[in-house]
Amino acid sequence: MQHRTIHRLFFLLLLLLALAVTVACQPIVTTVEQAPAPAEEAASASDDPRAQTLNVAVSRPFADPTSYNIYTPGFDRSRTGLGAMVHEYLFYLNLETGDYIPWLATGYEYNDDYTAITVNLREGVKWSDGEAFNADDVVFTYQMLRDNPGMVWANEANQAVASVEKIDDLTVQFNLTEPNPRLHLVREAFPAVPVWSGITIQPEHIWSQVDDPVAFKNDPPVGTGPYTLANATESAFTYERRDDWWGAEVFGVTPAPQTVNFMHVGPETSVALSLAANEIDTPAIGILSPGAFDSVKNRNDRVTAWLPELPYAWYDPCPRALMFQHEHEPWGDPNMRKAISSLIDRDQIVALAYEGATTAANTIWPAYSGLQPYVASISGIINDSAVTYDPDKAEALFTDAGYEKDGDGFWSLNGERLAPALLTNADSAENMKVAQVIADQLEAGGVAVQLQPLSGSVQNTALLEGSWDLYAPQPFCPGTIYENMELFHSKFYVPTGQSAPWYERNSFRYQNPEYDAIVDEMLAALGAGADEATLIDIYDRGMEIWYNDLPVTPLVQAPALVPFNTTYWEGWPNAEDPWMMPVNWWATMNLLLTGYPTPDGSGWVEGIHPAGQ
Amino acid sequence: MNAYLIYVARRLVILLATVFISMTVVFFVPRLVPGDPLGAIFANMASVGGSVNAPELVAEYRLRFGLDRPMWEQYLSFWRELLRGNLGFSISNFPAEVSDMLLSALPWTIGLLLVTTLLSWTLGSIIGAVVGWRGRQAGGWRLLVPVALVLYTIPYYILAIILVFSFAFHWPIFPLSGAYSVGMQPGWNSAFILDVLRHAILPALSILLVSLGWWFLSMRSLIITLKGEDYILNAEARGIFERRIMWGYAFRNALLPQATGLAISLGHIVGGALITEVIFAYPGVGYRIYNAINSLDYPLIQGGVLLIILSVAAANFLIDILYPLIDPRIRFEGTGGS
Repeated sequence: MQHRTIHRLFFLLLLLLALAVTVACQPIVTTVEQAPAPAEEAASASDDPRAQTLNVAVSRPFADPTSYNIYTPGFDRSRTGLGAMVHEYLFYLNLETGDYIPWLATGYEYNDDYTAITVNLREGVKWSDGEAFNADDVVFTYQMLRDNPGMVWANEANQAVASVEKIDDLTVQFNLTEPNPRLHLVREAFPAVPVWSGITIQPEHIWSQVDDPVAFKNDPPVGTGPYTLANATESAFTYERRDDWWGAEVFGVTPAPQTVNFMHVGPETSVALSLAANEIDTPAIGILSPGAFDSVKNRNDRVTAWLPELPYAWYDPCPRALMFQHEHEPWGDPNMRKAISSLIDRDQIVALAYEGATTAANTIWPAYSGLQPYVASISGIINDSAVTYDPDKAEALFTDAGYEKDGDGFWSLNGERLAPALLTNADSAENMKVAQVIADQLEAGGVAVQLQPLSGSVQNTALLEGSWDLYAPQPFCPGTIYENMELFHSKFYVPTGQSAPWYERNSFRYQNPEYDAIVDEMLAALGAGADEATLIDIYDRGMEIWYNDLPVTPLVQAPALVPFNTTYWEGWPNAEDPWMMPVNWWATMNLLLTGYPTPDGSGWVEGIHPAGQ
Repeated sequence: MNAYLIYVARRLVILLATVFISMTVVFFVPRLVPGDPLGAIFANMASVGGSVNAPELVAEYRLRFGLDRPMWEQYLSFWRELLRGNLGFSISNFPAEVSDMLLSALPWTIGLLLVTTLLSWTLGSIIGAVVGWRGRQAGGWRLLVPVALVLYTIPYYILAIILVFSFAFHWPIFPLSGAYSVGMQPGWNSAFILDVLRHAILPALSILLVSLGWWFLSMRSLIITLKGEDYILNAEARGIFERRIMWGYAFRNALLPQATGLAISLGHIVGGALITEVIFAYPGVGYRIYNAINSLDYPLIQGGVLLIILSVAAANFLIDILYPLIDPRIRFEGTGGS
């Protein structure tokens, strides 16, 4: 009788299995997750919806897919793609070519003393609801930021811009609070995108009707961009191409993909599998490790990256550095900072933590060709500095400072062991790997470092308030000469225990009036339109002080390992054809799809196109 | 029946006290952690090359969310709003409301976990009972014991990854991730429902197989213990059919501890299955609550934990009041013990 029971059970299991297989095999018409077709077939089958779709993989799901207000801090303009697909900016900077690309505007001009900047808006630009884009929208957006300090960058914009005046429908004048020849590169105060994003102009006819713009959901989002938000769920933001985009008429171009998805498919393993299976065209930064990328490449030869072999990665503009907390003894002493810096083997960090996917750095500027004259001019200073691995030098510095090795081989002063806390961000795989390698190196050099990984808000507050001795790795953004020099200006100083303005904006509490003077001199020279030789001279003098003080120590260039799948889309930028940054998490991403006008206005730099065309 | 009512009332008071104490703890503990509710957002912004003047924005949000007021004032207003059924706004996802965020995630969590829990409990209990009862005569079915042991001890995220690699990548039978296809509009139509089922199979299997192993093993060992009991021998001696002894005598008695286990599991369902949600990119409450804690999103933590406390307390309350009815050995008179 038990036999019969068991047979019945077995039959039931079989039935369940059969049901499962039936469900599994149902064809789903609208899905974009069909089993991959061979590359050649897919490219020629233009009616295959997948062949007209661009899929970007993002790192996390969308906690709230119902609000689209780019000015609320919790809205992630990168991961959702909204800042690139729906919104557009007056200007974009192409870091690869140096082009400052006029988009919603046609040009800008400073007045003689750099207290005002006049911008000419482009004729023919329309919002997605058909209204014309004009000076009223720009004036209104800045007024809204003034009235609502809870909006992202409202404080920054208000501090830099005193008022925005409408000269005529297509001309606006920004009056500045103090002379600033760099305003057109300040994303927190000007509607241009040098890196990541910028002030986003919003349609006056919609936002002026809103009582509380900070709590406004902005549904549906109205922008001037070539796409419109078609669907948003926890796992994907889906954009459809607009037939009535103003650029089609004014520029005569349309972006190639009909549909663009910013989608979350899971952790690194799932993204790697999806990329290999041609379900993903390009993942965002920080998802795939070089090892995972290698295994994808071995399974799918249509997957490429910036470089064909190691380090594969494009360098993003924010080199990584180790920070010292100057207000925690003994890290106020430059010689102690240099001793630590001399114990760090940067090549080993590249090999172990980055699996070879980057290069060592001895400056806090990205290795871009446009910056080379500057970096080359300080090669002598760098050679005499303490930014290379030199354990003998470290030993001499410790000994000179009165330190002795104790019985366990650790440096001690008057019987007290040197035991700095090395804080890092436990949410970041990169941080955890790098900090661990550094901790091992320092320990091998006789420093009893205590690795302290913290996570989420707790880590953030500890970092900004300065309750650490060492912090690594910290990106130093945005990577332009003046802006990265300015990060060390003491105007960003606040005492430990209070929140610093931002991580690399002096959370390390460095103060040197001589260095401040050089940064101010640099800004003045830029304002006066000084030639490159003059600027390099000022830079040289600044770096003389900087390397002597070594407020932070450079570690490595910032790798952005961004794979591209060429099964459906080709024309992606790479080291051989570096026409654009290979970046899908900045507002510049729309230019990857549409291309952009050459700076002289005579031609067009093409965007990506369907494979095989 | 009067004594029973007193018993129920007493349990109800305990339930309310549990909720009150837990919510008080949940209110204060996150606020004692050093950190700002916007901190996780800033760290995320920095990871893609963004920046903002942090202290000024934090000050604005503290003002908006009343975090600048004294703690006791916040505590009172928390209870006032809670009793009105208002869970407030999420800080890290402002302007989303906590109730909306939890309600949108809840159906996925309940759908996935309720079905897998009930299915694995039923299958595990029945198969476990049969294999346990038959002992050495179970033949090939005895192989299930080591299989269940392996399944039970395997970390379920490893099982999940194996399933994804095998049945979504190597043999692309099922989708790699998500609850439904990207671009699909949710709705009550057959295409969408089939799509949801198709997406649910791998995540469900990863949970089902592991918990099935547990229910199977515990039922089997219960039955083996009961097999030696005097009343079973007595029943056999009386010549009752073996089948009736198995289901009516052994199984029924073994079911009681299994039912307790089930009730506790059901109570924990709304907490979600964090790692399954992460691996399969499956929407659910687990990831919500995890993120809320990580980003010190006080209102969302409160809402999420309230949900868990209510369902665990409700499940316990239900066991407490149902047990005396199911099992006459449990008495509620006098001490009111269970």
